[in-house]
Amino acid sequence: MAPLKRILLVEDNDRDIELTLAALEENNLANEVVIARDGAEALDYLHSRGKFTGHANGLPVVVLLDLKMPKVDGLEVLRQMRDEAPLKHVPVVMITSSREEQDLVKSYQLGVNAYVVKPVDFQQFAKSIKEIGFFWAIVNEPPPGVLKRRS
Amino acid sequence: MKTSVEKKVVLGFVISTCALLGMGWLSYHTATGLVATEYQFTYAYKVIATLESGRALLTDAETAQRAYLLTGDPRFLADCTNAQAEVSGWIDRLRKYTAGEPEQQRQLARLEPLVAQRLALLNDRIRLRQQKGLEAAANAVATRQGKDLMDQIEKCISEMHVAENKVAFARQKEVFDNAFLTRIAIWGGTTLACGLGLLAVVFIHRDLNRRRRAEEILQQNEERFRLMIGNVRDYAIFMLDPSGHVMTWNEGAQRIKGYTADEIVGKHFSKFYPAEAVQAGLAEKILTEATATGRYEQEGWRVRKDGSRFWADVVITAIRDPRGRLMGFVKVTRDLTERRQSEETLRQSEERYRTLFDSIDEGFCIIQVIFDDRQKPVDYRFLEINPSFEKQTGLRDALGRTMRELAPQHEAYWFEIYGHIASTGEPRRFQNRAEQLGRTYDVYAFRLGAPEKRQVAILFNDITRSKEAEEQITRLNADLQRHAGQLETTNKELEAFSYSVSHDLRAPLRHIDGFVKLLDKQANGHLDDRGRRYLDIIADSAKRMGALIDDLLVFSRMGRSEMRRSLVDSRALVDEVISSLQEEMRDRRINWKIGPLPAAEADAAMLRQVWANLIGNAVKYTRPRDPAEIEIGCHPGAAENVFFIRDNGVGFDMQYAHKLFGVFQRLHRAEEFEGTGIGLANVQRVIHRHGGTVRAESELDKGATFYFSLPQTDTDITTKGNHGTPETHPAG
Repeated sequence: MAPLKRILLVEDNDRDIELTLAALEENNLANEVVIARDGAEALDYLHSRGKFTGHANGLPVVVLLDLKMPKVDGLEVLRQMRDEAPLKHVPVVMITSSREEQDLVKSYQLGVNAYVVKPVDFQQFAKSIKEIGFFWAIVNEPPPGVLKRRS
Repeated sequence: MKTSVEKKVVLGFVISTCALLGMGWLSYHTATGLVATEYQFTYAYKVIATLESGRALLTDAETAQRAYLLTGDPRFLADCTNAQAEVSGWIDRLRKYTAGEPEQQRQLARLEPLVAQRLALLNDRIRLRQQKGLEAAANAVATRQGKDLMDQIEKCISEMHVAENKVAFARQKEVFDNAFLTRIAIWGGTTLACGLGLLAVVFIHRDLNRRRRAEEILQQNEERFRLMIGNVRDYAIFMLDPSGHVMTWNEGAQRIKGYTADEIVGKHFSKFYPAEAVQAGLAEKILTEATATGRYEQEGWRVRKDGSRFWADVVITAIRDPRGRLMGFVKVTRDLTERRQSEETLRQSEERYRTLFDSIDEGFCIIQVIFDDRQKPVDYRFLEINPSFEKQTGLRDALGRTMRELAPQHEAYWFEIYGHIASTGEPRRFQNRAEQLGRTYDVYAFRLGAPEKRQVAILFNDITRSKEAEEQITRLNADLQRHAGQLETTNKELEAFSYSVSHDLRAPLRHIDGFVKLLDKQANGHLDDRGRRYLDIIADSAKRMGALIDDLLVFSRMGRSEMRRSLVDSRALVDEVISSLQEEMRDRRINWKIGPLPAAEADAAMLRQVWANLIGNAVKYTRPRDPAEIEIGCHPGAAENVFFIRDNGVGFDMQYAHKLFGVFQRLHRAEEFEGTGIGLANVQRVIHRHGGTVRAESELDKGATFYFSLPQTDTDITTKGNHGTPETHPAG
């Protein structure tokens, strides 16, 4: 049985996934990442439905959510998560290219836990991702019911 | 009536006097007649006596003759001669006495020759006796000739006697008759005189009574009249003597003029006139005119006792006695000040409305609606129009004519509306088209006066142009809305574009940079210097591209986003910007000189962008200077505050100044000074949006000064700080 993944990365762009994983590798967190390619898939995963039916995934310690995605976008995923009891307290970090104010405002209105703009500079990007991973997966004490860090 | 009574009385007196006179005359006449008659009566007897005496004289003469004849005694002859002499006197007397009696005169004429014959006969016998003696004489006597003569004489005298007796009787009867008439006349006259006298007394008494009553009434009337005049309060009514001195005074006079009767009676009436009128001799003029024409009326200013003036209507009437002698004047004065004021007010108000009527640009008219037999309004007539009427309608000489005459095709609804207003009195405001006049009107109409007059006042305005303009505005508005819609669409597209740019355009750059770094890592020293340089260039280009995109997004946002103005503490903003530039200022020596900065009413975020750009530039372009000098200050003004930032940096060539604020315009190569060429374009855009201006002054290598102005606001808060004292920021 594959070890349970504690980080849900929702990202439609392959290259971003690769860069994100490359960054997380430096924290040895790459293995704990499960990837959803769009919002719908992320929700299916979180609800153990669709192609994840029957999987006992458990709740991630953090969801790294891209904003702009096909089908269901990041804001919609966030909205649905905040409407449902078990998902309500799962930390969500927006990781996006958008610096638009409206996106920021909407995200915070929906109860996002953090909002990170992806820098063009890879080194900065990698640094940000590493820090996010480090903070949420290692430093932060997640709410009850979420997957604990393997000791 | 009085005169008629007097006439009657006089007439009565005249009549009674005449009666008395007549009676007197009658008495006198009767008495005289009586005396005359009596005299004639007596006279008749005197005639008779004379007749008889004649008979005796003749007998005496005959007797004496006989005696002579017989005796021849001369004494008898003397007696006979005397008797004969007396007989001739007797005839004369008789003639005299019966002068007025023709019958007797005729008898006398018969008698006289008889007597003369008898006497002649006597004297013949005497002579016979004397000459022939007694015998002859006696024979002669015996012839009886004397006797016959004597008988004839006797007869004549007797006849005369009888006739004279008749006269006496007639005279006596006349006297009696006259005496009777006289008695009747005296009685009648006395009765008439007494009657008339009585009548006169009655008349006089009655007249006296009447006069007394009339006098009483007159007195009462006079008293009433005096009270009435005295108590009249609204009019000053008083009398002046012929020279103009006040004789009487009433309540109204006291009220209007302020003088009491004691104060004014006896004074000259010129006291009531203003000094200038007195000097102009108005008072005298008035009296002269009133005297000449009997009446003088005038309106003018008069003076009260307290010196205040009032507007009076004065009527002066000359009073004359029945003989036309001037007794004085009655002066009636009324205080018309209030009326004059209200008249003045009315006049002014009328004038105002007339002016309004004549000068308003709107057309105004008063019409009379004409109804047909079935009370349907079919036409209207213009009773009054104002000067603008023609301009507003194009109708000439409309006054007095009807609308149908002027515009036969005028729409029925106009008549209906005005007919409705005239019938119901409901005012109406409406807009309507008059096709024949080729105009559209905005109309306000209301009924004027009594309903039966069917008059409507109309205030109207030709709104054809404004209507067209309105339509045009509506069209333009629709266009504008369409354009606004398009603009909004464009804006949304632009937003979507920006969003897409910020999100999608940056992703590939990140990937380029990311994979360059990964490639470098992967190569792990296998790349030579050139290869590494290429990788650096690729990464740098990507970063630069990213910076450009970021700046462009900011620029776009500056233009689009809504401004949120507030009072911004300029000094705090500047300090904040300077401290955010610590990184850039590391290892630099910069002398900051910050003057007093007034607060600015602006969008804080945008103004921050402005200061960030300008201060950033100053820091950047003074990089070659050690120490760099940067001065920030403000020239406050009434209308606007001009902020400036001066540096001693590299400056620029003024001939390129116009390019300074353009997008992506740079005056320096990127190798010299990094930058995207967006910053100053942003500054300009923000300042323009705040209603201000930007400009720059510089000389190559001698530094540059950038100015921007912000319109002054009511509040003038000067940022507290080290005013005017140059201040040096720690340069890292």
